[in-house]
Amino acid sequence: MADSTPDGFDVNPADMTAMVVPNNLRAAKAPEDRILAALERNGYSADTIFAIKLALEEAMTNAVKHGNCNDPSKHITVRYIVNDRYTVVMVRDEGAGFCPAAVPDPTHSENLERPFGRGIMLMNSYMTRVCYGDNGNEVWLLKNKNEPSP
Amino acid sequence: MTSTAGYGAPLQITVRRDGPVHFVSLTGAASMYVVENMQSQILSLIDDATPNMIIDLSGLTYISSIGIGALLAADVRSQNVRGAARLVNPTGEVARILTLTNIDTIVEIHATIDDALGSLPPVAD
Repeated sequence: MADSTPDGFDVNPADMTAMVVPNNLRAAKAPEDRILAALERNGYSADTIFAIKLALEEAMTNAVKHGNCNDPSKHITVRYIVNDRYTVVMVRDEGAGFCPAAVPDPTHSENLERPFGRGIMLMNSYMTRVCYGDNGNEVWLLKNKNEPSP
Repeated sequence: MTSTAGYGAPLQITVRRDGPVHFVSLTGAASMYVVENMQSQILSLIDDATPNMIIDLSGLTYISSIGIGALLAADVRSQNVRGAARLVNPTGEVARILTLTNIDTIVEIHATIDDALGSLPPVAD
């Protein structure tokens, strides 16, 4: 487990809840359910919960399909903290990593029918901040509770 | 997940066939863990006899990029059998996501089912 957080993510890793799940999207529902329940308990608006669910699913889908290459022997790690000011989520896969900056813009006409990049674009659109670990196999998501929708 | 808010409502798929067209209504949330089944179900409907599909999104409350991929797959499958897929009346955040991803420039989106029906290509005999 990482023992540090990226710049701009002012959380103590020891305060984050961690879950390790098998590498498939049905298993990834478990951490999503826990995070959504925590958001509701902390009074997050429906719009903000939607935004966090979307970014979380994009991160986990990328981890399962691209990072771990749909390998059922691999796992994804989800760490999160939800409080009355912000939510921070980290998703890590066991793959070799990638360079987010090298992913072409999915909204350009020549890329529209390619199956890559929309998830990253949606995470960037809906989150307060998105940051990748040095390897590219770890993504950190920050959403301020009272930030309006894009 | 106990909430019945839009982002958590179970996905319901209803299907009706009229000649060469399947009318598919998606209501609830197309969450990542249901999209594989959704895509399989939708694609299984498209064939030489029923190459066209109209997908009503007016009741869809959530979609992510993997769900968008399923809609695009329906469009590709339809075109492969000389038909077409059309999307109808996405609302709220679903409409915003389709716009953000420029999907509305690949798959035709119409305000009503009648409009979508009128835009379909004729089916070859």
